[in-house]
Parts: sequence; C-alpha cells; structure tokens
Amino acid sequence: MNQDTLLSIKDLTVHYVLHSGTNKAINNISLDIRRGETFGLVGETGAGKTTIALSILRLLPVPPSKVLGGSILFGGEDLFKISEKKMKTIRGNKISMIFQDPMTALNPIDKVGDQIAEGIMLHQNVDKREAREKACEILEMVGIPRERYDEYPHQFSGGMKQRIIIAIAMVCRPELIIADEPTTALDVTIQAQVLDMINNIKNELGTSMLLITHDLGVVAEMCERMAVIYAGEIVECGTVDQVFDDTLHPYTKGLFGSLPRLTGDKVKLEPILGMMPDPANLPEGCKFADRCPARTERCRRELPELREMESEHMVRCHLADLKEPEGEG
Amino acid sequence: MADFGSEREVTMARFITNRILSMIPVLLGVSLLIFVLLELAPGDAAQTILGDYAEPERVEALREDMGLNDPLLVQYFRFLRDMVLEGDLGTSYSTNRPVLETIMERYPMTIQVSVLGVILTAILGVATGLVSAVKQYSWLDNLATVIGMVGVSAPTFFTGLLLIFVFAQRLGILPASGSYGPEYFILPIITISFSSCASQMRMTRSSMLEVMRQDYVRTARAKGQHEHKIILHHELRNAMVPIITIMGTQAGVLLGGAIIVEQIFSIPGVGKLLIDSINARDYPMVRGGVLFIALSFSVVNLLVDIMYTAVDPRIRSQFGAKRKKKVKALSGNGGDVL
Amino acid sequence: MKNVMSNRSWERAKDFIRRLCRKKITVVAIVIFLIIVLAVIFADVIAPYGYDDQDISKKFISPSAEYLLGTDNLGRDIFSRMLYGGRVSLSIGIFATLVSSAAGILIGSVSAYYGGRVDNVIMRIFDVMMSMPPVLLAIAIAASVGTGTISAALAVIISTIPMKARLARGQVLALKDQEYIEASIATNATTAQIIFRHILPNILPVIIVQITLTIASSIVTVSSLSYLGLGVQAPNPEWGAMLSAGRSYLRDYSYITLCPGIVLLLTLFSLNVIGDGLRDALDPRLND
Repeated sequence: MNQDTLLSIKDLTVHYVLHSGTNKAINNISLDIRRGETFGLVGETGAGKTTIALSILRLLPVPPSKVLGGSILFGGEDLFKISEKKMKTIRGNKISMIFQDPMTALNPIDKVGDQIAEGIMLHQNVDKREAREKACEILEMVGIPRERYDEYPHQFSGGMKQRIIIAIAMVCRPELIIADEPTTALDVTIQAQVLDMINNIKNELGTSMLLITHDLGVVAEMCERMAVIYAGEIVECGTVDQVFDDTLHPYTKGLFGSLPRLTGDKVKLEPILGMMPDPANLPEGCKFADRCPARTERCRRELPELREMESEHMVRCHLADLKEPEGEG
Repeated sequence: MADFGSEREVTMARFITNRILSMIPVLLGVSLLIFVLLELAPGDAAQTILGDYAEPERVEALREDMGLNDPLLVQYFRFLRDMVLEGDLGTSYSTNRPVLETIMERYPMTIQVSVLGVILTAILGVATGLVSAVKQYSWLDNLATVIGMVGVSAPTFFTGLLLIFVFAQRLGILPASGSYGPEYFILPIITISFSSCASQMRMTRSSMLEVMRQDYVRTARAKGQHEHKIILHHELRNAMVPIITIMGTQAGVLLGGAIIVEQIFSIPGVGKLLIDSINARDYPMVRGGVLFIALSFSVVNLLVDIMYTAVDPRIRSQFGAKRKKKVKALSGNGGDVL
Repeated sequence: MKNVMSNRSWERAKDFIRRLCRKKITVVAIVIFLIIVLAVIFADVIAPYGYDDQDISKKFISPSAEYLLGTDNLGRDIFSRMLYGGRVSLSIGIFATLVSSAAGILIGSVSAYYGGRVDNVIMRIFDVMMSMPPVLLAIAIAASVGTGTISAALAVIISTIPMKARLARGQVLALKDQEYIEASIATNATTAQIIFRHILPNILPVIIVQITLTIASSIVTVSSLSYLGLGVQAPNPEWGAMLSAGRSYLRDYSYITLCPGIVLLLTLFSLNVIGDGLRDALDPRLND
C-alpha cells in the first residue's frame, strides 16, 4: 500500500437480505483515497454510493445488511476486523461523516452546541467547559455566532443546520471526511456557500475527503480523482481531468451527454434511455448492457474487468479496447 | 402574552397559569353536564330523603324548600354559587352531612391507590417497553408483547378477581379486602396498573422503534457515541413525547379503574362512594364525586402538559395544547378504556 | 361506490389479506373470535339449557358431563348462561360501536368540513366529555339513564362518540386541504360526491382498525358497568354481571366466575390482536 494512501477499499461486497429478495447493493468495489485529496464518487440514486459510505464506518443497519467479502484498510488495519470498541474511537474522530439530509440529522431536543461538544468529549480528554469553548470556536469557523450555542435545531435554517453538521464532523480534526451528498437537500444558492466552506476547512486541516454526489459540476470543482459507480460496481475511475476529457465508459459519456449547457450551440438534451437494473435482479455480464448504445453479445454474457487504460485511468468495458483513449469531450 | 410566531420561549409560570385558567371552563362544563345528567336520572330527591312512605304533601313541601321546582338553570346557578362562594357542594341525601366533608375523608385513599398505580405503570411500563424495543425480536420481546396483549385486553375487574383468587384465596398470602395496612394495597395497585402498564409498554416500544430509525440516531453513532448513551440520551428522550401522552391517557384510565378497584377490594375511597351514592340515589354526593374525579383528571393532564414542555423544546416554543391534541389524535389510541 | 371496486382495488384487497395473515397469532385470534361469535349466534342450538333455568337442587355442581361448566348458586347451567351472556355482551359491544362510530364519523366529518363556530361548539362539548376519565363518563351516563340492557348500550354509545368524532375530524381536516380535493371542487363535484368518493375511502382503513378496537373497549365498558351493577340486570346473563354474581362464591366455586371471565378475556384478546394485525396490514410502510 502506497505511503500516500489513507484508506483502501478492496473488493467490497455488501448485500441487503430482505423478505422480498436480496438487494445486491455493491459488488467488488475497490478504491483508494490518498492523503489530502478529495475523491469524488458519482452515481445515480440507488447505485450504491451511500452503502459504500456507511460500510467504511460500519454503520450499515445490521439485520438486513451483510458484508459478503472485502476489506477496508485504514491506518494499517482492516476496519472490518477491529472490535466495535476500537471502531467507536475512529468514528467521529479519525473518520467522520456528513449526511445528506440536514433537516433530520440533528437531535431535535439537544442544543446544537452540545451536539458538537458531544464529539469533543468522546474523543478528547477535556472537561465540559473546555469542550464548550472548542465547540464555540468551531461554530464561528462555520459562520455561526457562538451565542447560538444554546439554541435548538428547529431554530436554524437548512443551510445553517448543514453547517452545524459540518462542524460536528470536523471538530476532532479527522483524517478522512465522508460527505454523502452534502448539498443535495439545500437551495442552489446555499450549495455554493456550503461547498466553499467544506473546501476551506478541508484545506486548512489537510483532511482527505470522499465526496459522494450525483452532480458532475461539483466533482469538477472540488475533486482531484473520481470514480463512477453504476448498479453497485465501479465502471470508470481516474483523475478528474482524465474522466472528463477522455471519457471511456458509455455510461459516463451518457452522463455528460445529458448535462444541459449554458453556453455554445443549443443542443438537445440526450438522456440515457432505460433505467438502472433492479438490484435484486442484476443481469449477468455488464450491468449497463441493456442501455448501452454500443453493446455486443459479449457484453451481455461476460462481466468486464476493471482495466487500466492509461496510468490511473481504469474502465470496466469490453469495448473501451477498441477506441482511442481520446474521445469526444 | 407571548405571540405565537416568535422564537422566544413562553415562560413556565405563564404557561402554567394559562393552563390552569383553561381548566376552569372545562370543569364548569363538567359540572353542567353532570347536573343535567342527574336531572334526567330516575328518582326524586325529596322522596329519597323522606323515604318511600312519606306523605305526598310532605314530599312536595320539601321539594319547594329545596328549590327543586325551580327551572333547571336557576338550580344550576344556585349550585355554582354555593360551590364557588362557599365551597359548599351540597348535602348528602343519605347521611345529611356536607358532601365536601365526606369526599375529603375518602379522597386520600383514592389518591394513594391512583398515584402508586401511576408510578408503577410509569416505571415498569417504560422499562419493559425500552428493553423490548432495544432487543427487538428476541424471546424477551416476544414474551413481553404477548403479556402486553393480555394486559391490554384484561378488564380491570377480571384482573382483580383473578388476583384475589390466586393470591388471597388459593395462596392466602395477601388480603382480599380492606385497607388497614400497606399489604392491603398490593393487590389493588397491581390490579389497577396491570392494564395501563401493558399499554405503556406497548407505546414505549413502538415509540422507541420509531425513534431508533431516525437519522439523528445514526449521526450520534457516527460520532462514536457509546450504545447506552445512544439508547438513553438520544433515543429514549426523543421517544418521550408519545410516551408521556399515553401516560396522561392511562392516568385517566387509572382514575377510572380506581372506581372499580375500590369496589372489588372494598377500599373506602371516592370511587366506592360514587357507586354507593348512585345506588342510593344520593345525587349531591354523585355530583361531588364526579367533579372531584374530573378535577383530578384535569390536574393530571396539566402535569402531563408540563412534562411535555420540560422534555421537548419545540413544544416550549409553541404552547402545549395544540401539539398535544395532534399527538393524541395520531397515537391512535382508540381501544384502551378500562 | 361502484367505481371504487376496480381491478386495482381487488389486487389491493388480496394483498391486504395476505399481509393480515402473516403473523400466526393474528390468524389464531381470528379463528378464536369466529368460534366465539358463531357459538354465541347459535346459542339457541348449542346451549343445553335456558339461561334462566333454575334448579336449586342442582346448585353448585362442578363442571361435569351433565353441566359442562357446572352450575351456579341457583342451579343454572354456566355454559348456557355463558353462551347467552355472550350474546348480550357481544351484541351490545358491536351495536354500540357501530352506532357511535357512525354518529361520531358523521359529526366529526361535518364539523371538520364546515369548520367555524359549528366546529368550535361541538368540539367544546366533546372536550368536556373527554375531560372525564372514560369510565366515569359511562358511569355518570348510566346513573342518568338508569340500569338495564338498553341503558347500558346507551351509556356506552354516548361515552364513545366524542373520541370517534375527534378522530374522524382529525382525518378529515388532514385531507381537506389536500390538492385532489381542491381539484374535485374545481370540477364541480357535489359535497356528497366529495365525501363519498374521496374522503371516506381514505379514512376507511383507519376507521376499520378503530372499529375493531372500539368493539373491544365497548365490551369492556358494558361488562364493567354490569359488574358494578349499573348495566345489564339479572336475570339477563352478561359476562360482567356473571362475574359480579359469582364474586361471593369465588373461593369455593371459582368456576362460576372464572369461566365467563376467561371467555371474556379471550374475546377481548382476539379482538385486540386482530385490531393490531389490521393496523399492520393497512400500514404501507411495512418494515422488513
């Protein structure tokens, strides 16, 4: 494992076993996150992004979910093999998470300041007064006056709630932050603010970030490397420049093709026809085959391997072979 | 007076005062209701007092004297005036003693049984519901669910009889009637709270299960918080609002159950007094008894509302009454009466 | 209502029955309840004796072949009395529930729909009624209307209406502002049409659950009133009254009290389980 690598997910497979069938959420996912980088994870709703995030912190709901294989290496240990007690020292401390919906992520009957201080008191050896002081400091860092420490979540707007959640995630200066669609639930105008703030704090603390989103624009702005996930598998990954400029996978191309453009000739939006397969009923072979304009028989039969096309740029497609790695943009 | 839209919290004192003031029209309503109901009731007051063999003229004279021939409203206002200005609830037709006096003698007994019943319900009900929810699907949970179902279904009088049969008559370890010492209260209190405990347990369990699925619990876990703190601080506290609502309803059921339990175990409380008075057609006493029990119920509701505000800051900002009605309507509690 | 029973509704009905029978205990409860109801309906056929056939020479006989559940202090067959008593308890319970539910729904819906002063006044009255513990209200009404079977039924009905009305009102209020109602108004549907086509089908599931549970609580109220001597009077058999009558003989002849008591418990238990099962089956958010 590279010195630079902070977190390494290898061959992770997680399924949800339900009455109605088994939901094969993610299959053989591998990705590495390096120190100080922002790694973007892109995919549609239901592709498996949140499952990956929850797996890292072992927050999957245990009765339905089952980890069928794989490892997550962090700080020299496999997070799946350490004790729950040890895991608690990592959560909120070395690795923390920002969840998607700020409206429901805060305890409605606890003061917001206390909710930040909770994390401090769990992982740092300070008394209540000091914890309160530190919480106030970080409140100000996220742009909320420290006098509002004693207020309750319902007294804040959505954007401010999300900032409080960011404060909670950052307060112990984690090495890795997992941000699961942190701005999806917010107004467009607030989104930019919040993303900026996340970026600033991240740079100041030197934290790595796994940024999960379905918004390619956000990825372009914030990430150095990225991966595209479809139906529980990674279909393409590489640096942001590579994936954006030399798009290899038909799905990724479809994603770019369906983006509306503000400039240039007015071109008709080209959505990708069809829908993502039902995770309880995944087809053999390439999961995108049904919707792929370039599919072949082989695609339907045989699951493509993730192959490295150029340094760092990998793709899961039989046909990427036949194209020049420079395509349309 | 605080305005509803502002973020400033209503101070506790103001809130309590408001609630006490709003109790008054309700109690007046109850007094009017019972007054009207008893007017329609069979039996004639004067006849009851003088006995079945008194001459009709004497009965008629007494009726005039007691003002029983006046229009209903006049009688009602007379009653109100006496009650409010002189604390006089009338005189018993049977014993000729002031109603208030008799009730006050027996009130402590009823309170004892009810309060202890409420405490038992609160502690046992919440504890078992909590364990049930946290260990969902375990044998403990299943057992508790079944016992809970039985408890909710068993009418108070049956539970009482069954307990008397088993513990007093077959096993002979506990007394079946009377109120001469602490051991005399054991069976009555168990009887009175068996059903409420079960309701409380079920509500606690379902409320907890609801809360356990919430996002903020996941946030707490993601901070690395310890399990016991998650259960107590994050989950239970948020589950409290419906739990407290049920406690209020159950307190009412308990007060009602006290009436039955006093009858079964021959405990000289207001409940037994009420039943005896109805049978004796002693209507002033019935009025007094009903008013007292309704008053107790209102006080309990007030305490429950206060507890809400202590537990949930959102309610504090909003005035308890509206919220409580919503919670009550949503908690779907149509089945539990006795 | 013909439009309501389309294909889609039929599918939903089958689905619903399947979900209802998922838990074994619900099925057991349904069976128990049906057995009790059938036994009670066919009491005339099943009961070996009349409910008031006294034979002092045969008093206090323990359960035997001749008297399945024994005899009481007047030589009456307990089994027969239990069957006929069930008729009284169950019929009052069901009848009272239906009447109070209908009245409550009507009052609550109208009150909610028209709002304003009408709503206010009605709700104030119900508030007062609900500010008394339910038992107390029933007892007060019983004191007023007197004793007897019909009075008991009346007491139960009147004490149940406020809660029903309030629930119905809550549901209607929640629906009143929904957009599809506004859409109906925009297409000139009459008030009756709106109520029957849109509002009722949506509050129906909740109401069905409530009715089941209310039957249970009505039976409890009736039997409690009778136990206290304020309801059904002798010699009419009724489970609560039978328990009261057997109280003095509890020590030596417990079966006089315990038999009707246990059947009462079973009836209520199965009703509550069915109610719970209905609630789960109608709830779209089923968890795995």
